[in-house]
Amino acid sequence: MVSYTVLFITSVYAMAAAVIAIDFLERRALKEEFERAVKSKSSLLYLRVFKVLMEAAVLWLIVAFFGQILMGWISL
Amino acid sequence: MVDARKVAVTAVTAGLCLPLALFAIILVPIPGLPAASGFWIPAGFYFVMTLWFGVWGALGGHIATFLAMGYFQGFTLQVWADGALGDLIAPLVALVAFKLMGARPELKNRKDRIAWLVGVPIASLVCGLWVHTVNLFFGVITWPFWWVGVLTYFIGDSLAVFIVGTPLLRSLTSYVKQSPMYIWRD
Repeated sequence: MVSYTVLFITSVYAMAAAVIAIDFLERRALKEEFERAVKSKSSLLYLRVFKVLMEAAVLWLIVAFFGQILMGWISL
Repeated sequence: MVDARKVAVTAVTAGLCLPLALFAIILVPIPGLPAASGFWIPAGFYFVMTLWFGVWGALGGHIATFLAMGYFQGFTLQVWADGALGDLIAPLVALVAFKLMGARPELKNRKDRIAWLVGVPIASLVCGLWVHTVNLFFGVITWPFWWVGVLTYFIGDSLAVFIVGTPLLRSLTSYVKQSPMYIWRD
């Protein structure tokens, strides 16, 4: 039986990963529109770059979490 | 000259790397070596920020490492400062390698890719040598462990920077280069 804590955390991580995947697909679909928008509003560029960096950081934190379970640093 | 945008780059890099420096390390055992290699995930991020924005990105990585290491109560100030200085030096070494080779962080052509493939291991080695030599002089480690420490640092940091940093550079540099903060001009 999977513990409640594991199920909860895994669900949150799965949702976060799904949001990031959907955002990735949306970015690809709106690439040309985004490039046009950046020409009139350059701050969008920074928002895009930092958002992608944060998303990558979240994915790596999820990887590290499960890695640390395997290493025995985190016990559930 | 310090301006708000440079401070913002340092702050964003530090904010991005701090939770990673606190939580995102995985120790990977290496067959034949008595110690595991630290797969240091934040390195991938501050290397990328340094290659885009120069010393301001490296400074963010340095601040994040310094603050994160402070959390681990067993460490002395010397260990914090040593590790954090190593993490300031390493991305700057990679930056110098790119400058010397006339490469760009887009990793578009052969020269860029060679600079990345050569610069990152050199940077990790310099960082490993710095951190473990200082640790040795402060009596934190002994000579027999020195080479193991340097080697695991070299392998772990290089792998992390390649695996984490390469997709970031390839996917985001085309956006970042439109920014006036981008340090490379053709």
